[in-house]
Amino acid sequence: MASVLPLRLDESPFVVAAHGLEKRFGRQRALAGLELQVPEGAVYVLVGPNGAGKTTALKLLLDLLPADGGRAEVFGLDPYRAGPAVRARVGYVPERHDWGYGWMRVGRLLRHHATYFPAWDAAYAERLAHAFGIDPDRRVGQLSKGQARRVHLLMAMAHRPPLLLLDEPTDGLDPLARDATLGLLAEHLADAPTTVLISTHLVHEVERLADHVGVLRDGRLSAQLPLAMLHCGLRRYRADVPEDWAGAAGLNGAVLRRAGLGREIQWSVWGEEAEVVRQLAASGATVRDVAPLPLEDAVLALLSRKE
Amino acid sequence: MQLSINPADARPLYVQIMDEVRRARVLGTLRPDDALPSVRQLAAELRVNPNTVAQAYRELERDGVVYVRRGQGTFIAEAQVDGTARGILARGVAERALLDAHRHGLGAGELIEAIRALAREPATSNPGEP
Amino acid sequence: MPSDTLPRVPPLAPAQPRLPRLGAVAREQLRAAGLALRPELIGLALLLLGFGVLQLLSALAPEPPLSGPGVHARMENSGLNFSPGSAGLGVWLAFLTPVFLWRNEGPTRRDYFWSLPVEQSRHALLRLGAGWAWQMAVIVALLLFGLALAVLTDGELGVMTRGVSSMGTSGHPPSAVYRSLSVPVLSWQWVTPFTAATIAYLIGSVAALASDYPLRWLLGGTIALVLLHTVLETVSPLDVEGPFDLVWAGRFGLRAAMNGERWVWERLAGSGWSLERTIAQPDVSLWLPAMLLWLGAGAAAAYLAAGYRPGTLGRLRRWGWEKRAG
Repeated sequence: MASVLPLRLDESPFVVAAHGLEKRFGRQRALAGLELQVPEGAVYVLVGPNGAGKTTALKLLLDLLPADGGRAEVFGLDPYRAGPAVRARVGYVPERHDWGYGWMRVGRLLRHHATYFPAWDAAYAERLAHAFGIDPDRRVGQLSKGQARRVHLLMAMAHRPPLLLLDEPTDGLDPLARDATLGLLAEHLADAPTTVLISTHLVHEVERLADHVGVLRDGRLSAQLPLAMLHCGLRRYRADVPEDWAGAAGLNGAVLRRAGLGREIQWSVWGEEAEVVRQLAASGATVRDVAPLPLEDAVLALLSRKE
Repeated sequence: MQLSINPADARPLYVQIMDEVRRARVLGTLRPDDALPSVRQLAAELRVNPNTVAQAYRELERDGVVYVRRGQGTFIAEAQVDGTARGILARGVAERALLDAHRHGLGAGELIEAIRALAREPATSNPGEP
Repeated sequence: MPSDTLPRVPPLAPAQPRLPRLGAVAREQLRAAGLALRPELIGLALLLLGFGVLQLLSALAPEPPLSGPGVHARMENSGLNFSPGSAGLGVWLAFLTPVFLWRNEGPTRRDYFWSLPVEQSRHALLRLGAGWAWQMAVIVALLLFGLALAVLTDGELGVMTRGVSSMGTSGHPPSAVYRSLSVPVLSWQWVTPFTAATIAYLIGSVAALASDYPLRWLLGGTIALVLLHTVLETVSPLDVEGPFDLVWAGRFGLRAAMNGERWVWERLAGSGWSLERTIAQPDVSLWLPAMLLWLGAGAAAAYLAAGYRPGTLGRLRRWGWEKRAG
C-alpha cells in the first residue's frame, strides 16, 4: 500500500514548473529543493505554515528575488533571463499591503499600471472597480488593508493574464468582501482560460475553486496532487477497537492523524479505501464510518504528519 | 435558483450539482425547457470552479437530464415517464441514510423498520407525500 | 450570449503582444516622475517666490555700506545680476531630487517597480532619465527666474559678482580681506548649471538607488568630509590639501567640475607662515576635464546602481561559479 503521498503531477503542460528551487536568507533556508508543478488551467492552492516559503516561492517565479539554486520555468521561460516576458503574462497580488506608490491616487495608479499592460481591459477594470467599491480619488497610502487588497486584485485581474499569482488574496478583507471576491474570481475564470496559483491560510474558502493542492513544509513540498485524488485517497475512518487491540500493522506508514473517544478511534489515512478497510477489519477493528475530509482538515492532517 | 453544495460531502462537487438539478426537476422547481443558469453565472454564485459546473452540465446532458442549444444555453429536457429520475434520487437518499445508520451501528433492517414506523405516524408524515 | 460549453483551453499560447512599448513606458515614467517630484517643485516655487519678493524689496531700498574696525569691505547694491549662478539653488537641489523621486523605494522596497514587465535595470534607467529631465527643467526655470529678477531690479545681464577672500595668518591681528569683483560671464559658463546639476543628480541617484536611506549617505558624507577637513586643518594647517582637495577644491574636485573654479592654497614665505587662499578664475581648460571626469564617473556609478538589487552580489557570485564550472 502506498504510504507515500504523491509529490509530482503527471499532467502537462505545466504553466509553472520549479526544479530543485533553493533560496537562503542568511543562514535560514526558505526553500530547499522545491518541485512545484502547476498544470495549465489549474487552480492550485499552496498551503503551509508561516515561514514555509510560500511567499518566497511566488517571488522567485517573478524574479523579485534571485534563486540560490535550482531553476524555475513559467510558461517555459526562465524568470531571470526572460523576466519581462514572464511578468507580462502574470497578474500578481503580493503579500504586503503597500504596493504601488503611496503618494499616488488610486485612479492614477491604475492608469499607471495599465500603461505597462497593453492587454488591459478598461471596461472590465471599471466593472471590477464598481464591484469592489474602489474610490479612485483616495491616495493609495491612505487605504485600509482591505481597500488596498481590492486595488491589488483589480490590478492583477484587469489585464486578464494567463497566470494569476495570488499571495493571501483575501487577507484583510471582511467576510462579505472575501465572499464577493471569490465570486468575482470564479467569473474571471469562466471568462478566459486562466491558471491560478493561490497561497493562502484560508483554505476553507478556496476549496470550491481549487482543483490542485500543494503542501509546503520546511521549504519543500510534502505533497502535491489534484484535489480529487486527495478527496478519494485521504479519508477519515472511524472504528471500534477491542480492549487489547494491537494496532493495524499494515497501516503504519499511511496514518496521518489519530484521535479517540473511548474504544472508538478515528484515523485520517491515506490509501485506497477498500484496502484500508480490509486492513482495519483484519486487525480486529470494526469500521463504522468512512468519510472524506474537508480540505482544511485534510491539510491539517498532512501538515501534522511526522516526516 | 438556489443550490446548496457542501465541500465536506462525500460526493464530488459536480455530482452534488447534478443531484441538485435532478432534485429541482423532480420537485417541479425546474420544468422542461426551463433554462439553467450559465456556467459563468452558477460558478460565480456558488464560488465554484467553472470547470466543475461545466462537468456537471456535461454529465447531465449525457444522462439526458438537460439539453444544450449552442449559443443559447442549457435547458431542462422533457421528463422521462419511466420515473428513472425519481429512482436515482431515491437511491441517493437511501445510500446516505444507510451510511449514517451504519455509522451508528444500526443495520439495514433496523433502519427500514424505523422508516416504516415514522411513515405511519400521522404527525411527522411528509406533508407532500402522495 | 452565455455559452455553456467552456472554450477548450488552447495549448500554451504563442507570444501575443503583451509587452509594453518602451516609448509608452518612458512617457509614463516622465509623468509619474513629475507627480513624485511635485512636493519638491512646489516647495522650490514657494521658496523662489519668497526669495524673489525679499530681493525686490531690498533692491528697492539700498543699504548703507558696511564699516567697522578690521573690516574692509564695501557692498555695492546695484540690483541682482543674471548669471549662471542664478541657478545655483537648483544645482544643490539636484542632490536631493533623486531622494524625492525614489522615496520609500529603496532597494529592499522596490518590489512593485520590479514586478512590472520591463527589464529591471532598464526600467530604473528610464526613471533616472525622467527625473533628470525634470531637473533640467528646474534649471531652466531658475535661469528664467533669475533673468526676470535681474530685469526687474535693474541688475546687469551676463555679469558675475565674485567674491574673493584672502586670509593671512601672518601678522597680528590676522587679516581677512574680501574683495568683490565684477566679471563678465564667458559663453561656456552658461552650460555649467546644466552639467553641474547633472553631476549632482547622478551622485544623488547613486545614493537613492543603492541605499534605503540615501539622505543619511548624502548628509553623512558631506558632514564627514567637512569634519575631516576641520580636523586636518587643526592638526596640520599647512597640509590641508589631501582628501579635501581631491573631492572638493583641487584640480579634479567637484568645484572645478561644477563651475571651473578651484581654491588655490598658497604658502607665503616669510617669518612665521601665512596661508593664502584664492579662488582661481573660472577656466574652461580647468572645467572641461574635471566636468567630464565627474560626469563619466557619475554616469557609470548610476548605471551600476540601476542594476543593483539585494541579491545582485549573490547572483554575480553564482554566475561566476557556473562559468567556472561550465
